[in-house]
Amino acid sequence: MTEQATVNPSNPVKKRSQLKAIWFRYRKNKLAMFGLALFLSLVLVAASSGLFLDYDTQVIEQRMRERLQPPSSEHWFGTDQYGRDVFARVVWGTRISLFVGVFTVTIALTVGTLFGALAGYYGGTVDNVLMRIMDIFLAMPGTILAVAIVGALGPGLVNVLLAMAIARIPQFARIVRSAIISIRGQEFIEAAKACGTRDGRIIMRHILPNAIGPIVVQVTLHMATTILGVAGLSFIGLGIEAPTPEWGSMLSEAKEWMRYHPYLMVFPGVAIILSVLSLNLIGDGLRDALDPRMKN
Amino acid sequence: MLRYVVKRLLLMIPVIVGISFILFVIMDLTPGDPARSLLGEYARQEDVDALREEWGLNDPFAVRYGRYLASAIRGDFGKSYRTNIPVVQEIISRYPATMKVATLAILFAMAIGIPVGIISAVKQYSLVDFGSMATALLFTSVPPFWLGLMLILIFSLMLRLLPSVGTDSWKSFIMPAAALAAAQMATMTRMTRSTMLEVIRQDYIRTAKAKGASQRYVVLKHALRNALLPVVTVVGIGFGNLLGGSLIIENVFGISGLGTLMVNAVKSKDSPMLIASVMFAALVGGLVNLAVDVLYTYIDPRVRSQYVKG
Amino acid sequence: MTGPRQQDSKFRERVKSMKRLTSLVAALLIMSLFLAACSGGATPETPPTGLEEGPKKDTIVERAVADQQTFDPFGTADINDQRIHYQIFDSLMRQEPDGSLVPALCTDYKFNETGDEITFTIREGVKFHNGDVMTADDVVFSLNTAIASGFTSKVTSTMDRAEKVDDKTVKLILKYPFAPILGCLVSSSCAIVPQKVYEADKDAFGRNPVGAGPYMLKEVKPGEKIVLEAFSDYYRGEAPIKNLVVRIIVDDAAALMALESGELDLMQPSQAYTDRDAIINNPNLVYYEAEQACTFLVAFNNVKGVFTDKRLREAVARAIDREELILGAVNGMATPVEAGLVPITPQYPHGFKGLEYDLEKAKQLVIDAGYPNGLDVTMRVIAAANYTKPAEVLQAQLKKIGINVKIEPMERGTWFDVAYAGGDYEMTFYAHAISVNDADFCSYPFLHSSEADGKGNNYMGIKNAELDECLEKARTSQDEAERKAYYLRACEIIRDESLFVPCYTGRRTMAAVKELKGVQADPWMRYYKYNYSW
Repeated sequence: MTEQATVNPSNPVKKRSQLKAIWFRYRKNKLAMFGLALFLSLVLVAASSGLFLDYDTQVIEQRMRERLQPPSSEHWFGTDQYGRDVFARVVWGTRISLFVGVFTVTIALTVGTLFGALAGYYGGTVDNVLMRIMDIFLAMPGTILAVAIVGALGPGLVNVLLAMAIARIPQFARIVRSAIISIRGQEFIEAAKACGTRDGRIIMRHILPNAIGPIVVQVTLHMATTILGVAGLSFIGLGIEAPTPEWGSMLSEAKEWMRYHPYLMVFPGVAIILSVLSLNLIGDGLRDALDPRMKN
Repeated sequence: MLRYVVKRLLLMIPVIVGISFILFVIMDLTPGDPARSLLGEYARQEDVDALREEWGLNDPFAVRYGRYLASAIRGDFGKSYRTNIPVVQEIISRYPATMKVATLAILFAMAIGIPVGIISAVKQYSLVDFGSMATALLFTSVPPFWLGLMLILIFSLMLRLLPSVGTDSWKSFIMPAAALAAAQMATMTRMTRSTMLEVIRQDYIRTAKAKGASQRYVVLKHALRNALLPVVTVVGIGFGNLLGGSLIIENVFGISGLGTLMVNAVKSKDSPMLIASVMFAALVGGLVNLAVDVLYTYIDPRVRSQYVKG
Repeated sequence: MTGPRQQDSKFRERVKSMKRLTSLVAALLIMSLFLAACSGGATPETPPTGLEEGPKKDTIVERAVADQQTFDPFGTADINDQRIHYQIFDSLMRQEPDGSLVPALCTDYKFNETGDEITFTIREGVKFHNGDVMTADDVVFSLNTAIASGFTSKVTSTMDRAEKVDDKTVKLILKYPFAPILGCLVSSSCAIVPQKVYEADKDAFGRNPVGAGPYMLKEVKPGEKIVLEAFSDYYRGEAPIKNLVVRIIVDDAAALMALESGELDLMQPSQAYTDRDAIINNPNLVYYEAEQACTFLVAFNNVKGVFTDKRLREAVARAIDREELILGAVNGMATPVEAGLVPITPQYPHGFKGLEYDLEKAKQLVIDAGYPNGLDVTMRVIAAANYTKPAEVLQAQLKKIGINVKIEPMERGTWFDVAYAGGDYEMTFYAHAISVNDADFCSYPFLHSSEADGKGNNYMGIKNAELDECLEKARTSQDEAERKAYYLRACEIIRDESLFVPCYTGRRTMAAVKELKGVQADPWMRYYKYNYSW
């Protein structure tokens, strides 16, 4: 049945039924559904945190006399070294991390897709040149590339976002390219070419929609690694500027108090794990749902 | 085969050169002056200028990069701006620590991931299977640096069992390796499980079973052999990841390995050091990948025949 | 208002209840996360004990935070490098434990009448580690090398040149009379080295140093340790501690654990002062404290940008709550400073009052300056906790008066290049440090107009004629009472014009096992291990 759908991609009815089938398979996967529920609740937390938390007075205001308090009914997660409420900061941090995850992947995806599509569709010299450049980027450890770029641009939300995105472009380019190569030779593309359709149109209308499966899976998984990566960068002091409650920088601050106030360490870490876990579960579930043969 | 290896090695050269170029550009865009950074806040401007001149920092970009390439070809990768020691020497002295952590991590990951993966596959849908898959998923989602900190908290600060930093005894490598291994371990478990499942369903396994071979014998003798192939890939990729991942773990555990060297090089604008160490890391990563590919051909005759053709 | 001490005891109670929670968390973690890893042989059988076997009464193991960059005393401005240089090299002068300065490699010194030339009689029979005897040529060469080096200007900028008078006498010629010069000569940047060895190969010297100090370099293992051993021909007699092992431990918490378990004898504890109570409460350890030789301050760009407006500077000065700042920045372990000098200098006007904390007035000043809706400023600081943490507290404090601060942490070198030397910043948090205990060192270089515009260390671009006059007169006057009066006036000008806002002086700390004698915390981190014994 998948074959039918691929051959006739622009047929909306078929497309919808394909989506339905995917959703049907996805729904049966309990872990994947748990991941989706977890992710949606994180999105909900992120979206609603602005309603019940005031950034200026609850997230970043310092109350030095209340510093370093353990969890209590007043401060559920305790307070940090400047007397800020850790619960409020962890909750607000959801916004930051999801935002960074989404935007980094969007940028990397857009640019990576462009490169990958060009390379995959045209092949030959274009492919060679683009892919060799991507190889160079891929050969460098991603973290150090990001560290170097942040070094050049300076720390800060936008720069970290850019650095992470640049480090991820080659990976998306690769995936898109291989997806396209596998489709390029198929008959309906030949047919479209024979009809004189422009290259750009073929790529946008015929090839990309059919390569979307693996891309979506990679998008979720890369959002997970991006959240981890940004937390890591912030942890070594190259991340998002103070006093933004980013989870990695909260952990970095907590490190020197680890021995005396270990609770500071626990909550941001758990928050990272939950968000990354939810995305990993979704990614896995999607992969299985998109390609039933892979599932055992 | 030899031709293939040589070809792959030759292909690494443009990649390495490309890395040097990209990093040269990035470091050129980075604000700050390594000369002033080294001389300190009370330095006279003329001294700063003199040092810049000595390092050739005042020349245009193309001249500097050309000069770098020319001497790199002769095997001279320059001296560190910070320590004035040849960078190659510094890298060689730092590399073992990183290597030890990464190797130990891979060993941990294999020692635990492969058996757990096999058991999960054999007992598919059992509680053990579900438990180990859930744990594996959790492990892929834990930031290694956080795991490292938690290990320090528990094993060093609370139980006082393990030294939390340094590289003086084998014990100091346990926690960093464990922290790094977690994610690899998870991948390894999942990979082993899924390939095992695939293999178990194949005809020859069924035949072996039908012939009355014991479950244990079938799993270990027939299935595992075939399941190892993708696992080798995971080891290869994982090793590369570990080298990169050790960057932040080294910071947590205070190991002065290659990762620390790179981060410090970025921070102090020590371009010769950064470029050489990243090139080195890429080279090692490339060689490991090549080794894995060659290893493939020995494990799987089907792959070997491909190379003979190509 | 509760002081830091009272708060601490309250915290300790809370910590107790916390411990229960932590063990719960820990147990859960061990069970869930590490079930698998434990079966993989990750648990060691024996806990680590003290590391060296046998009697170690002639060895001390101490900690360094980073690898040694160079052993060339003229090739670094790094205070961590210099801590080892003080063991390997001796200089013409030495600082005694009580802070006084005494001749070291000279036996006598004499100033000329105008005070711009010093004649040294060099000590006879002093041997370098290679067995050579120190000559007047070595002294002249070393001083001139120090003067020529770009790394040493902090202490050599007032020196012109050194000349040999005869085989026993050396003359140091200054650019102008400069009273605190003897303090400069204590520095390891003015170490005496054997000319022959240094000249033969400077780079090799940086790896295999030869000095006339009490310790010789024996072994370097990058990332691990540096080993020094006592020099038997040291002119004051061989050191009581024969072996000095310097272990490189980057992390503070880890270093403290090593100290507690007996793997270390001595270390500088965390500069965040988080471990103070743990050390004080440990019966095996002693905690040593001394005031830092610097004053942390909020600096403004007086040349360009919003803070050229005095009203805004005053608003900042009136909005800073030093107590809270100290609590947040250094865990309460600092002394508030209200005058613009370093408190340990003999000329510091004790009891001096800065502008009063007054939020209402500060808000009004911001409005008067033309910002009824507040304003955004950028604060560029060095990316190290001792600058970024106070910056974060200041950010929160200034927000209350409508000044929205964006903190921009920069790597040390970049900050010096861009902000300090380049003058491209609006406000910053920095420390004025002194290498010699005299108020001149924390005022003239930073505040005199001749040092502004990239010509020197006046990175704030302060140009105040009356202040200039005070500093000049204080610098050349030989009368201490008169100098004190000039510095008092200088402090008043700094306050009244809000040229910058002095905030606090931190503490130098040292922690050691209680059996080790001769340990002190030193404001300048000049730790002569020669004075230590078991």
